Amino acid sequence: MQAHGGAVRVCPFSGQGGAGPEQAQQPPANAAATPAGFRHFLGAPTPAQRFQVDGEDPRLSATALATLRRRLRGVAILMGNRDEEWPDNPDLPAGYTYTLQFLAHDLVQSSLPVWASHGGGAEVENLRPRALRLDTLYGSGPTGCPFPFAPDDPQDLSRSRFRMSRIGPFDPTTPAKDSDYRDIGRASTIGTSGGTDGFPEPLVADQRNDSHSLISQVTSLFQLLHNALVALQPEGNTATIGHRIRGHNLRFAVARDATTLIWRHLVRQDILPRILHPAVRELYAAGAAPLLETEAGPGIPLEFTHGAFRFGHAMARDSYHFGDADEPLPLGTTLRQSSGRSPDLMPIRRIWVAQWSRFFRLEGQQEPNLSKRIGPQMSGNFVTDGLFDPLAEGDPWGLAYRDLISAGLAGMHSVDSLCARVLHLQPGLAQHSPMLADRAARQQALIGWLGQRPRVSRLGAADIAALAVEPPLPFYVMFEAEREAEGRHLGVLGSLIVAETLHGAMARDPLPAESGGGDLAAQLDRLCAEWLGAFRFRPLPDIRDMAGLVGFLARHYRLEQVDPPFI
Amino acid sequence: MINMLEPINIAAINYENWGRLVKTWSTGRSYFDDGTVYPIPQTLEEMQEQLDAVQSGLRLPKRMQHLHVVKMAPDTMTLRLPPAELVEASERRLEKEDYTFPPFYDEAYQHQPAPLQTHEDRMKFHARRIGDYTIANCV
Repeated sequence: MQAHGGAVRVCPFSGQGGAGPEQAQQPPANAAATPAGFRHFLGAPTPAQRFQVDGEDPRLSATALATLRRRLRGVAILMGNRDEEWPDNPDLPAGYTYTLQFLAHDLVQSSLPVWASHGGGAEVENLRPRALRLDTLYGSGPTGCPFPFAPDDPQDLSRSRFRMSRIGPFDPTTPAKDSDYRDIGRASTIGTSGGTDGFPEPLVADQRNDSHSLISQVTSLFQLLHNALVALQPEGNTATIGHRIRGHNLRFAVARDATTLIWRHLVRQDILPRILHPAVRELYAAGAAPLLETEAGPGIPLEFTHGAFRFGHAMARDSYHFGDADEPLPLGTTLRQSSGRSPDLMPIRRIWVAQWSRFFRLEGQQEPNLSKRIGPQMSGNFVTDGLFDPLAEGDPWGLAYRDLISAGLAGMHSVDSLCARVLHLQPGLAQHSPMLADRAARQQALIGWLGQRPRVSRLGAADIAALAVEPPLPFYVMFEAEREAEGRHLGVLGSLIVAETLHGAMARDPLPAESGGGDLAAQLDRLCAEWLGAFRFRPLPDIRDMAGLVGFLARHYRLEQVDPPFI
Repeated sequence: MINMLEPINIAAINYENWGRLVKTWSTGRSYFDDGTVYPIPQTLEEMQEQLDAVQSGLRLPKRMQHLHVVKMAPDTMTLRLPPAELVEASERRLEKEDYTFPPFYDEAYQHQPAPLQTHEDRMKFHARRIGDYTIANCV
């Protein structure tokens, strides 16, 4: 089939059709376009500044694409064989791994993964127009996206609270306790479940928030927070139906804004400080304003979405202690606990219910599961059958390859280009990162790592040398974290991309209550003053970190002593 | 110190790739379309390399000190007895926990088997499973 300019429009991952591995078919003509809703970090790269394969853009050259796939196969296999003795990260409890996933969902929602597209271009679009507004939780709200919300009255005239499911297994003979309603909403649709029992439909605005049992429970934390903030508000005038509907709508709106203020506070004060290199953290400590991208347009940088922020995948453990059971549960099985994959096991069953002191460091409680130190290594569980199967014949299994091939096809800045631009803009960072400052040292370190176990990776010397010159960005960010930060947080380049993107997104699109400045307490009071007269949230939900969120919810819902345990 | 009762991590395994590798070793014909030869390994190190190269997800536990490859023949009864320590360890585990299947059964049949409610039920099933995989000759 011929398309624009005579190029043959085929999927780059289709079979080789008997051709040699380096003779794939031509990519589409529009492959080099920047997808809508995305942009580039520090401006669009010139062709020479883009990631290349032996001097060619893999989006525009079939030969380069085939070479890229073969090389990334080797890198992915090396990345997917993390040793069981890979150390834990004492600075990052395991709950942050999945809080970061939730954060990623609040920044970007691709219409199609780059790896599934014809190399990017017009098929891929970021459908998240606003960043860090908790659109991943609320969607377009109860009117445009009603199913995550429960009716406020029997006539379903308004919806102001999230609908929660009772943790499973469902047993109609056992009376439900209030504390049982901790799972996201889930539904069964008759005759569409492929013959399976259970609840195949998650009632969430963003289906990715039910991709496994930990992200769904992080999501439910924020749903519970919203519901608590609705409950804390005065009911107001209920004399007529009109008053009641307006009251519910107002309570929803205030709770949403308050939840979003708290979420942004957590991003700034808890999440970012934990993952950033101290030197970069210091740069953004004063004002939280973007330092480098003073004229950035709309959209999220590809170098963030398809590059730096993939580091969270390296933090996943092989197994987790969920509740009060003695034995940890494997990641491979954890990733199957969702309405999509295991409807017959939904709602979340007891053994999968998160005891949050296992995931965040709560004062006076047990030591939590810790995330793994960041490095170019991922849990072997990601190659479990049926989770991340090969995209095409000959491709490897696992998450690492998907990250790498998406990065390779996203048309991003090369690592060399990013290092050069960052050094130009922030020369003082060179003292904190030998690999940032010294290209030869960077390449030498990469050659050492990539050259390990050649009989496993099947990478030849020429492949290794080429990859050291043009490392895929997500791989390099993980490598940098391991080499220059002991895997305890990101390195300098990774930190700068993440900090600039997140701080910039919030600074360029402030919430109304943020515009007047002040701390979280002042902002929450300002929000209430604008909409609710003399009412103020008291006790003030002055939530400083994820552990504080868990503690607030435990107190509000009286979950300190429940079974299965909440904290 | 090596723990002789350290369990093999079967949860992380990619059963399809592991099965393909066994079939490759058995038949001498590669079940991987990657142009690589996978001979029957002669050492544990060589075996681990092949396990990693095909992404089996299977990591040989440290207690493994020796490799003993048995290629069965159609006219020979090969009786493979599991180590007594491991049989007893799994019996102890079943006193408190249910039997767990590899996740690919759930994916293939889209349904988890119903839990075995009593210790007696679990022990009966345990005996049947051991009987099955001891007599099964790779069908």
